[in-house]
Amino acid sequence: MRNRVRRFGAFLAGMMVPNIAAFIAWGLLTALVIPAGWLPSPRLAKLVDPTILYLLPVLIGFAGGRLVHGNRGGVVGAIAVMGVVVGSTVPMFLGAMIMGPLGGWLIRTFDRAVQGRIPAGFEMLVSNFSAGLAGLGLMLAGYTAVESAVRAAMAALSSGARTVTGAGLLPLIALIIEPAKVLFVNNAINHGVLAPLGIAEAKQAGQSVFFLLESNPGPGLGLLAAYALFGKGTAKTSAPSAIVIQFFGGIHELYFPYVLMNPLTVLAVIAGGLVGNWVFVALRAGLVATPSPGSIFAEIAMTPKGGLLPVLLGIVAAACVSLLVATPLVRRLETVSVPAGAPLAGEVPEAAPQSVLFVCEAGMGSSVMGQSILKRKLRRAGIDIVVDHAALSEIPPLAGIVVAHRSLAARVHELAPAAEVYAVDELINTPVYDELVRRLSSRDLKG
Amino acid sequence: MPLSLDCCHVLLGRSYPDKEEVIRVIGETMLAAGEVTPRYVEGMLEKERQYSTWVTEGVALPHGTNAVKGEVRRNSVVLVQLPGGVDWGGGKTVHLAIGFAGNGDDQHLKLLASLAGVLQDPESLERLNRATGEREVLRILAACEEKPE
Repeated sequence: MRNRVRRFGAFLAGMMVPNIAAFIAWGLLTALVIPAGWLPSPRLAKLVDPTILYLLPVLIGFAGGRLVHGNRGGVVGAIAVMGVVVGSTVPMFLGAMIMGPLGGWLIRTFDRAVQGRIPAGFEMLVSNFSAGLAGLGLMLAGYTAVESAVRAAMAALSSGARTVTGAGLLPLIALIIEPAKVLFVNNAINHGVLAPLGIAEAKQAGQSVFFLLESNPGPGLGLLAAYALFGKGTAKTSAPSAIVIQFFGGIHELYFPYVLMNPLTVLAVIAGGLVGNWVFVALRAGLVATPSPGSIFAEIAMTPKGGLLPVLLGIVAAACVSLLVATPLVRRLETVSVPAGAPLAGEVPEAAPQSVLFVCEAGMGSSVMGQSILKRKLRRAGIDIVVDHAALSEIPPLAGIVVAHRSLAARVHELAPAAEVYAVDELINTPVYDELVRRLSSRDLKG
Repeated sequence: MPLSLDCCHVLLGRSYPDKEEVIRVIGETMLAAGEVTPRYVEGMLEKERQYSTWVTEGVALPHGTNAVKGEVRRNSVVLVQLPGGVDWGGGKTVHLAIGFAGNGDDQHLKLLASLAGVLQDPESLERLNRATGEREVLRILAACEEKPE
């Protein structure tokens, strides 16, 4: 179970991490050119919406499909994502994370079913039409279903928000706002529930805490700081630039992929939000209007005279708590990316691995030799599984189990993030082969 | 299909100052037989600079990088006995260097599979190290290939 969760985490990371660059590109653009940005430009601002509504979800969907079934799976995944993207009015990241792998899985299932049964000469035709039709089918299905799903989620979250504010338990609203932000349904809450309350309150008191609840950049800052300090790989190295765009630029979307790649970290932003809100309420912090975008500068600019300290304290508290809670979760993700454990199953459309891939640099020497040794060992153990070999550069992104020399293990992990990598120091008599035999025979027992 | 060992060259009882020299000799042997192009030999040297081709106790398997795959004309194995041992870097000493060029066909896979069989069997490996004739070497390789699995 634990291993399944780990593999699932690695899979999510494999969908999000390669696309962080696109998030950064969009975030920078947005921070600069929107009307409230630093270099407002109505012409360039036309790029903002299509990029987040279409490009980012389609990229995520492609990455998800590709993890399941190579570039072919990626293409079907991307087609499938278009349905949910166009069918809803909010950026469909969650939908993309479902439709992408689903598309890859669908076409992989098809490919496996017809393998070797296509008459010679028709392979290309069948290949293109099957992928096109699979993508189209999912596109239409997603288009039909997504709107009601999004509307239901928005309605549930809005009524939750109303209940919490009505009961006077304002800090608890973080429980709703933070997940809603990551799913992009926060606008409904913001404009439907919080803003009207805030405007009414600000008219009387000159300031309102309602403007702070959703725009507080603290929780996101804490989460990104945790990645910057304790993360690994691209997630770590990209986090500082994400911080700049999120905290100073006010583009909160930058931290969403970091939550989506490791969903438990939503607890960190919730905890940060809770504590931040509590500090705001306790110190009677408030803003005169909605800071937009939610950058630290906008927050400061919207502070009423003499009210700066409570606002800053709340933001700092939120960031610290979020960092504290996120740290073990982010560190845990690190163990996720150290490949180990059971195959993907259940949570993602990937059954037990169908094959073992032996990888070396050239794909013609040690991998071929290792393949033959391993094949023999597995056959002797009565395990029926395909063992293949490949050059490092040709490794499919959703290789299930990969064996490689230790010096290549890190590269393998980069190229096939969801793979379970077995590193060998010695090719001929390594104990790793026996470990792998045990691992695969226990797979057979589990079914 | 029995394993064809036409492509095997055997260099017995050799001694070289370092592994680059061993690889150069392997490369020249392949070149002389017209099995690879000069670029493949460069690729073998390049490969060795990137990653050690040491595979197991006393044995190395020099071969080209992925980039020179296309420079192989015919499958080739050059087996070099090094009784005095050659330093292969990383604290490893090699007594048997098996240079390799494969064009990716069925025979290539079979050759490496039979080599793998020999390397897994300490007794065959020992015999390979001590062999005094080319035919003896080929017999040992062939025997391992035919061993039932």
